[in-house]
Amino acid sequence: MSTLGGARDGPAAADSLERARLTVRCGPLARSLASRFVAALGAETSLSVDRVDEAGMLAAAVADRCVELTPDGELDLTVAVREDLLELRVGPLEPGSGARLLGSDATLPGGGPIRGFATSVDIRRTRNGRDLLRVVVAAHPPGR
Amino acid sequence: MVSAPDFTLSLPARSESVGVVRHVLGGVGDAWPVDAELQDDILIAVGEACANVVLHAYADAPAGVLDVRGGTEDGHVVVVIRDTGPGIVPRPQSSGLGMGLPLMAALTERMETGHADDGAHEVRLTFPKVRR
Repeated sequence: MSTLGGARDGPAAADSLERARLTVRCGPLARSLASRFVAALGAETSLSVDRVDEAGMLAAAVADRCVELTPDGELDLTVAVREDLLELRVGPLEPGSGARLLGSDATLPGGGPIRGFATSVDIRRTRNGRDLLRVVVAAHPPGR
Repeated sequence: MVSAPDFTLSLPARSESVGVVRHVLGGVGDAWPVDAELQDDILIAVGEACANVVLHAYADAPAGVLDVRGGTEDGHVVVVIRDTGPGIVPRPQSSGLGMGLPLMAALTERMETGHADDGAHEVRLTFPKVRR
């Protein structure tokens, strides 16, 4: 039986049973699916509706810049769900694009930088030199 | 033919994940050739297939992964729901009503089940084109 696409190996694409993963082709679908994906997972946490909404906007903001960020035209978003937070991992991204994404021009649709909504943000380097953006959304962002 | 899916979702095969899949698929109207009626059919049929994975795929095995891939082929929306369980087997003790497969068949133009080359069990749902 042919698998749609078949580009990825097996269903065990999630890092583990603790994580959920969305891979979506850059374009009009990416923004909608990424924000819905994060919002739906956020509903499993104790985060407020506002914070879940902000997490969804974070994902949408990343998806909006998908083409310039990703090496193969696909947004790869992995989310770990905890009782009181969401941890988003975005990548692999083009080298240096994580920092650009967090730069002053990376604003959310409703205004405000990604750093302003995230509780913590860091950029890691994968073994093959790509960026991996890690964003934690907990009850409150810093300074609130 | 689609050379690669537009999206792949990979989630733990538990009941909460069915709602996540349904919520995510609610956004495909932004890019796929669907109207409101077809969108509803997709959500119902895919939801049924995902519920089958949660309820039955790993019934006698450790919990596994629910994998959903979607794209378009020749104007048809195609969604493939995958698991690494043993596939559909008779389960006389099942608590289900036995309506899932007939419902999926009724809402799709074609429903196929089988095993992929990598051994995963698949339910492949091909939806009718939107009538213009």
